[in-house]
Amino acid sequence: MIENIIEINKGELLSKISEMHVQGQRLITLSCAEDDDGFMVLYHFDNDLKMTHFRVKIGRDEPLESISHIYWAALLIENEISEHFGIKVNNLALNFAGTLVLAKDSPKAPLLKKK
Amino acid sequence: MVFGMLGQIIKNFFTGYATRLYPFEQRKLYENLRGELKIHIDKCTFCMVCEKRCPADAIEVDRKEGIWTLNPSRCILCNVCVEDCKYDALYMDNHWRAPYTENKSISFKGTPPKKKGEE
Amino acid sequence: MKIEFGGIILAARTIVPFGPQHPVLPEPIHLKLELEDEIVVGALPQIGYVHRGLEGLVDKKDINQLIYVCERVCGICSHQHSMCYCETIEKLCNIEVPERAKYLRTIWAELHRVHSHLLWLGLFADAFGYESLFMQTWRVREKTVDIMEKTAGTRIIISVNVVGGVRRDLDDNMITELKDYTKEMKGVFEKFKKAFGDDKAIINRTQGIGVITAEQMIELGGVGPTLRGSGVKQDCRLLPDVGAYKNLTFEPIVENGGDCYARMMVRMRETIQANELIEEAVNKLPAGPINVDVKPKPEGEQISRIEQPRGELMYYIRGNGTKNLDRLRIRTPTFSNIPPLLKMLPGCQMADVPVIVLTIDPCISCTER
Repeated sequence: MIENIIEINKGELLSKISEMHVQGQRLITLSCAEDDDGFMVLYHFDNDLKMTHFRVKIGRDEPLESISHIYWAALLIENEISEHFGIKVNNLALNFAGTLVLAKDSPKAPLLKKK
Repeated sequence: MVFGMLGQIIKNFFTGYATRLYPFEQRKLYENLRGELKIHIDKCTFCMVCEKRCPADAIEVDRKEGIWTLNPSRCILCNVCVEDCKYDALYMDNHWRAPYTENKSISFKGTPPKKKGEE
Repeated sequence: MKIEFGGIILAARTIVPFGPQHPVLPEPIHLKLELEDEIVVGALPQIGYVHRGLEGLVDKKDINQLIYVCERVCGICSHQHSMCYCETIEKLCNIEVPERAKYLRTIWAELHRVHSHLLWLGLFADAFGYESLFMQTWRVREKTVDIMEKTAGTRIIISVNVVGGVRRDLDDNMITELKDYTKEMKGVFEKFKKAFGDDKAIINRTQGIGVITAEQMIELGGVGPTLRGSGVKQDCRLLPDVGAYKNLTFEPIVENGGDCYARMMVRMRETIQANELIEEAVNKLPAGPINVDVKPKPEGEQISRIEQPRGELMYYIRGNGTKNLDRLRIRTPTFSNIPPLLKMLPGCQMADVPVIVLTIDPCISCTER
């Protein structure tokens, strides 16, 4: 299994990510997967080749808070998650509104298994 | 800088060609090259392992009639079927397939396996 | 669009599209450049021209068939994709790979690094008009691709990895040919280093262009030679479970300029270092089996990282105990290098834009999968 995963709630997400920013850790990426009752989002950080991970669980129709005001580079991957899985993301620094990887006549939310 | 270039120009008069004179001189093909998939149909027992393992769905096996079909434009030349065949019926030729204008499948007919209880 | 104040025109801004078709780009990406009288002041990216949705194939292909899907994510750096996928599944199922297989994977990985950097050096020379150097670099690259054809069977997408080891072995003829190849390439790469590094025209076009500092790179998430060109010493080949690198003498290559010249010299010196690593690995190759026979049924989640020619590649896999995976997530290095690119562009002139876009080594088919 993966070492060093910390489970946090939705409410303390922004404060934990700001702590990582102050420590100077590099954001690797976000990963999203579908569970039976909702979604699970993982945040991966790296500090001199040592990794730390945060896990957040959200329900099927709940929105996700964006971290792009702290780490600007996260907006590309959050746009892609919202297009692939149909999750609503609040407070994005730059919102592509469904045109980043999908086109106007593509199927909606293609990686979602249970519609 | 001029002397360096002049030395190179004089040297070029005495060395040979920098490229190969194709088609009079052709590079020989290497032995391990994966060019085209072929089958010895008399060794095939229609066990259907190659159809299950193919990542690109390029092989179709009809067990009742004894027909093995390949769609060559789907084959990605990965060599998994050749390595997994227990009867050594499949092999890779090291010549590239000639260019083609139509997308046709190739079929081979062999003897299908006998059913149990039949004589 | 003009900005006026009290009847006086202060500045005139135009929007110029760059791409998706451009002679200097290997793959399509679109940038909307905002220009103020020949100086770039902003850029907006647009990707999505080659999105294939390969992560959605986890339902249809099983674990061994997904190796061939992962290889075809990128056409230039394909061996490292399948190597990282196999290493993640082996970590999750606790499979022990034999030593000879690790050395063979490392040899083919370093050959891929040489061919990818030579391709990039040729395109970079073409970006500022030096077409004869472009032709000579690709001519030398043909010798590298010939060696891959002799040892593995095809030119670039070599399909040698399998869960538990490799599928092909090197016999004595191939080892002799590899040793001859590395000896010949030493002299050739030294000549290239002089041709790229000491030429006054190249120095004028690349020094001082696209400067970015180390703190900005870490905050924006840059990886690979783009990060090492700004002075940060980070390379995934230092991790203990990647290939056979812990048995070879390896030090990451770092330059301190932060501009396009420093990034070019990092890649040039990495080509020379890769040649030495191949020679050392061929001399130290141990005897033994090349794979273990396993039927993996992974359960749980795992992450692993590897160093591609363009940077750090990360795979996240989740399995549920059946022969199909639950989730496969690929994070490629160019995806992380796009925010630093948007930070390097403001302040340069319009003729420098192709040089700066190429200096992050964009591989857009990796980015969009």
